[in-house]
Amino acid sequence: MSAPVLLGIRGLVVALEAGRSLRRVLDRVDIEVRAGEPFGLLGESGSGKTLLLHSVLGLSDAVPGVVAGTARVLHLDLFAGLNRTVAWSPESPDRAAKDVRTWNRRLRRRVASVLGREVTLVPQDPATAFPPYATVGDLLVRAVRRRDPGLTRAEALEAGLDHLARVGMYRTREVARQHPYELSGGMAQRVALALALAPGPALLVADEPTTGLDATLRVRVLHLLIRARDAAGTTLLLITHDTEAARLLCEGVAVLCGGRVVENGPAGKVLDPGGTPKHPYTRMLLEAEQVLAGWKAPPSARPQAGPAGACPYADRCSRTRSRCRAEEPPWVRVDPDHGIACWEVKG
Amino acid sequence: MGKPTRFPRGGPAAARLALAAGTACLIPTVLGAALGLLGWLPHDPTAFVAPAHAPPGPDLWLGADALGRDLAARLAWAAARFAGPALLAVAVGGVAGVALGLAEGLLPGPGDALATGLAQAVDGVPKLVTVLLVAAVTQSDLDWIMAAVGVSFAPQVAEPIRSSIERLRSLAFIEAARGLGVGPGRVVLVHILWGHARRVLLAQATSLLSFAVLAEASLSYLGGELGVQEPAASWGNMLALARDGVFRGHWLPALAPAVMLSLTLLGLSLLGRGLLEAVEEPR
Amino acid sequence: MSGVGVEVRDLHKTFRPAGTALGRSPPVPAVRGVSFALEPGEFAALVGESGSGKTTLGRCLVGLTRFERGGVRVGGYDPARLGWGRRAEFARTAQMVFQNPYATLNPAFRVRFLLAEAVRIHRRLPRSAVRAEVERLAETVHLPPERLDAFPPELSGGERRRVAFARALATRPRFVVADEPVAGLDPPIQEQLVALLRRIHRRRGLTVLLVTHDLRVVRTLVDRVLVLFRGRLVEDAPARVFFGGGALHPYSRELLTSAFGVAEAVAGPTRPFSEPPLTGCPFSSRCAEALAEPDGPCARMPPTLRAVGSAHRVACHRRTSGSENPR
Repeated sequence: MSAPVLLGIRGLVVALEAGRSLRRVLDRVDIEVRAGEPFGLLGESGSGKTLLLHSVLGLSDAVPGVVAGTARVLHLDLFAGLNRTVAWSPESPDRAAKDVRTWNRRLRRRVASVLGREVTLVPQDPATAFPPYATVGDLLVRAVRRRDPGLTRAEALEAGLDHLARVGMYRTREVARQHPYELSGGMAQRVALALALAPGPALLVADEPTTGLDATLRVRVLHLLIRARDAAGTTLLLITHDTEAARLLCEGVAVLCGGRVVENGPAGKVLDPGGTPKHPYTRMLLEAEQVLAGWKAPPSARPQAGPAGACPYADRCSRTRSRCRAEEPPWVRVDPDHGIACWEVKG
Repeated sequence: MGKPTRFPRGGPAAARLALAAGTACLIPTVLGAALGLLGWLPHDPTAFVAPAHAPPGPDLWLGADALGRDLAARLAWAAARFAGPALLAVAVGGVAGVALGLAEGLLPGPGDALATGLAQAVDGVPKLVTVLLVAAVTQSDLDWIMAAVGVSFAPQVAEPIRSSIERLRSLAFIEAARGLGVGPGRVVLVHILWGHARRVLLAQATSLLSFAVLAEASLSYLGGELGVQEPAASWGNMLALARDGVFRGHWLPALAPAVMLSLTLLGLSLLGRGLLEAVEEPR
Repeated sequence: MSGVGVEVRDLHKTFRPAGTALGRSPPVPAVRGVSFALEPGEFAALVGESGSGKTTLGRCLVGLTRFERGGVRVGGYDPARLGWGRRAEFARTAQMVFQNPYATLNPAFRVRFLLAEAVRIHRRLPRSAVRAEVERLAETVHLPPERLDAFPPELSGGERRRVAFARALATRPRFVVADEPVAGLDPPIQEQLVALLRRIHRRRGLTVLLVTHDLRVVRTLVDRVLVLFRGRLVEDAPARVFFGGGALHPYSRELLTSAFGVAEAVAGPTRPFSEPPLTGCPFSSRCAEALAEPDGPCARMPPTLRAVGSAHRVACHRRTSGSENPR
């Protein structure tokens, strides 16, 4: 338990405008990723997992966005000074005042000092996530120089081509001359992974990496992620709804439902189909996996907040009782390292 | 450091505000035109009912013009007289524009080239020049002038149709409709024009209308052989008639048609913007 | 109402990209000589990775894509020869549920309108009957009635698929090509849709061709599996045999491992992306058996599809070993 915390999020609340009120699409979320312990953030589309990542890294345009919480990445306190730009309190959660532009500018400036260096991101849609004017080679050179600024362009390109070869690309020199949007889905995924690995990050964030890939490609990408996870000095944060991928890749997981963490603990316990106790939402995800596997989140899915003051899964749970709708379930520690928020679960 | 914004901010009301303001601006014109068409005017707008430049009173709401005619009645009558020609301009512009747009969007190679060439040729002639030419040739027949306004606007109406056809016809939902057995005419008219171009078309119609209003007023103001001839009323010739009186302190006969003209143009422009920005517009 | 038979003979389709000022891109062969037949009421899966030509093949069957060579018969119709008049008629026989319901539902119209249109163009019905039919369709696909008044962009991914299903069913087709009907959805939603598809097939006895890359989706659904690789049919087997350990083609096995044995599949060494071979078996550059013997038959000539058992055909030199007889 002494490994340093790479990413520590506490009490994160993210709100969106909803007509004449505010909707809390992330509500008091706590996440802790420690060095050397690959972590998975699980949830369906709309559970808010991508929004969480984007809110913390300043990539989100949501308004008002972050209204409460703390976020640490390595040594950086990303949300320092939050209470000076935001006025919000849990007592009147439907009102907020925030200087969104100042906040975003400040957060982005802070994030820029680590993003692409100590923290890298494999974006959800790699074919379109990179600037269209840059070739793969340009991007590789930039990524390699982040770690070794002294390299010449030619040297950096050579190192970058090595990274491409390591993720199983052939004809790397030709690929380097192409633009990311010219590549097929599987190739773009590999290029994105090579770019994320090139700076030698402490934290590698993969956002839905197996999304939209067909079965054979998905296996190959998972395989590459396992190798990336096992690389020295890099810790993986996997954001996915693919429970099978999370079980294969992660040590710790947190399950997000309706913008709240409903279960967290070691992947072996949380994602063990036979294991008990378990949150009904997690069980539902696991049962669905046994029949099928899903790969792609609908692009337009907006985060759905659970009802306030109730269990976020109450509307869909088969064992909902009146209490589930009336009160928020307490956080129950079924093991020292395994917590569940459900009225059914006894400590 | 900026000022904090309060959330929630309320719905996106700008478009609705523009629509409401535009409608409000058009109320006097529409009301005047309606009264004029129904003949419910306090006085015969061509009769000399008072001394020249008589001040406003209970009988003459806006006073009399330089020849002693009821100013209010003439304003309303001018709007009513112009309603038909204005609708003609919109009808001609709409029909010619839609036909041109469909031809540009749907015809194969040579047909498309022909339609595009035609559109460019028409678009290349300044609209006011067209209007003046037609006015000269037809001895200022207002119907012909308005038809010319419509024709000169056709390329502008055609453009959004062409672009939505080109943008949409390769899209999957058009193909899906085809697979479902929907006929090609229905695909174009319902799925493309009605579904995606109706707001733009309406907005184009407002800008066509405001050009028609302005063209008629300008011609009539210039006077001579151009535009609406006395004793018939037009905001343009009313302005021209009131021109000399302004310098002798009779500003109302000039101000009233100017205000009506400005309100109408402002109202049409706001309406056009509101239609374009209306929130339900699908992308 | 019941299903119709489908017959495909030696189908070829090549895409010829339009030339640009800078030059002409080479033609892209998508389907290269595929033949198979479906019995009326049969539920078959067409599986393969992206780029294998499976969507193109499906589109050829419902007459949305023209092909150069070969023949297709769908219940007495030839989808290659349809004017606009016959197309409406054919739409009552064959329908496609499109891969991407984000794009295939016109965003400018309410769901109710989109469904009513599909009903009306094929049957002259009074308003109230159309309304009732639309509501019945919504019920068939388990779409809550209040969602009928939504615009497509407001629907969730699962709801859009349901609308796409309902729209295809509105013409009362007898053959349906469902192109990746559940890809892109969360697993619980996929499960519901698969159950829906099974129920519709059972109740109406339709002939269904389910196009997918995901064997997990089809295992519990289909009677038959057709495997497509780079535009060629490489295996055609009864589902019982295919999923019961009888899949013979190495590519079929790779698909099965990718779907059901991920833990083992990811444990091996990294294999590079393979370049497609210029001659020989199209799978030889990815096939461990072919790579073990670089100058074997796999590198020299493409294998043909041969029967290896009742209703089971495979295109692999190593499974049919050069003889006409099954192994």
